[in-house]
Amino acid sequence: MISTDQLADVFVDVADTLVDDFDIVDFLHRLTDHAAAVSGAEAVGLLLADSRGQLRFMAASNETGKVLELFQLQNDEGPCMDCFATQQPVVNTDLATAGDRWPRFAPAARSAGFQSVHAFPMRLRDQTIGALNIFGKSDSFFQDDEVRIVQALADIATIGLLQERALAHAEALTEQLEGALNSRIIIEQAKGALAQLERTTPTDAFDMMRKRARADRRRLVDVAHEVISGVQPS
Amino acid sequence: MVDGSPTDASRDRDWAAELVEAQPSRDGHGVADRLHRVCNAGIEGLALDGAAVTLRAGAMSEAVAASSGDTARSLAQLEFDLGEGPARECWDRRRPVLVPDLTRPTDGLWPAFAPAALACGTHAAFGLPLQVGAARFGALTLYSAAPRHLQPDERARALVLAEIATEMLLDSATASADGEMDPNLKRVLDVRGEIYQAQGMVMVSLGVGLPEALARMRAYAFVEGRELLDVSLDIIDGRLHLEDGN
Repeated sequence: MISTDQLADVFVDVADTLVDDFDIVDFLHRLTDHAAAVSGAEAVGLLLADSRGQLRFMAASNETGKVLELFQLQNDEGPCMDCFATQQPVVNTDLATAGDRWPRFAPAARSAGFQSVHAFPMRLRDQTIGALNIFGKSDSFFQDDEVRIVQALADIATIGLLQERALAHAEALTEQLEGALNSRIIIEQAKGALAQLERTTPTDAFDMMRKRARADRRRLVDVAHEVISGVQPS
Repeated sequence: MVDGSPTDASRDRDWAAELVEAQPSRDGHGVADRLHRVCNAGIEGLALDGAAVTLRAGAMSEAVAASSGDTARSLAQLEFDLGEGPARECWDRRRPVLVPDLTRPTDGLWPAFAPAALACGTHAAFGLPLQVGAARFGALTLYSAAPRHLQPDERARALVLAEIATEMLLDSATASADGEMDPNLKRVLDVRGEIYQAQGMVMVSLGVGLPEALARMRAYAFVEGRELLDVSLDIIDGRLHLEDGN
């Protein structure tokens, strides 16, 4: 776990959703980075439910995190699914003994070098909007206080999301989530376009876009838009 | 959502498809007729009073392609004159804009459109973008005479209707889409990002727009009898290059 000072900075950043240029996609990417730093885990991934209750990939701290999330979605099994369905955290699960629980996911995660897995619900009161998944390579089993810290991080992020723009009416969450899901599609389209232009892989294209967004302090989705409008025939 | 599951998702999908199918057609063919049926399915299925599909191509060109009736058509057209309203707003924001009570719009939304709509007897307006990522076609707008919320299950169903309208527009973008598409291919929105990555790659390699790129991929998958996802993975890994005329 990281130091108390750093932890305070992380919590301040995650609570800071009432800014003018707030963007859910960027926010969730930062959240996965923070969760990785706080827990010292190898990879972190995040799924959110769309308006129809279907879990969709939203963000990951790295490509491995993304692959592990997509694998769960594709096979409809894994810690994120269980966590979302039960609305309870899944903690300190040893992948070596989880073969019965997740016959496809457990061997796949182990062969990618992972030993432990945790999942925390993104919830506020009775509403669960998604789940945060943490994957560890070594014996990164959490103590009780560490579990509480990571759950608190997920809770604060959820409160921030649900209160974004002081959600004026019940429909506002649908508006936000659908907008964020469409932003993810734009980013994927731009990854493909940039990969084709630069003769590289979509993963490298994504890194290029993320670096550009950080360097210019712009939203990732705006950089993605720029890529697409640069190649779109008029 | 706590009340949702993938089973709900496919049930909503079936519900919407059947409802659209059950609507009487006006002239029996063409994308405008199919969009017209989506509008009528919206008012019947969600107990609303009006629906319209507005298409846009860039900043200047916009048209009401279909509507459930005269009031809905006038409301949609009103947005062209006023430059604001649910269709315009959800296009600009690239996300749904759902206003349950036009007498209390949030953030001072629509100072001109809101009073005009109220004067036409409309108290709630819901705009749903017709889009796949950066590829945008327009908006489905739904109107209610009384102020009302859309409940979570109604929101899900409204989104499915917008998805169906988007697919109709995608299909009409293909020159070769005279025949019926494989029902499995009808499902455009997918949890897998690879389809959209491949779409971006095809856009660049063929020098076409995003809608046409996806239409080409779907047409190829249909002709070859393959899953769209498999075709996408082949494109990403460089095993498949769609060519002009494919």
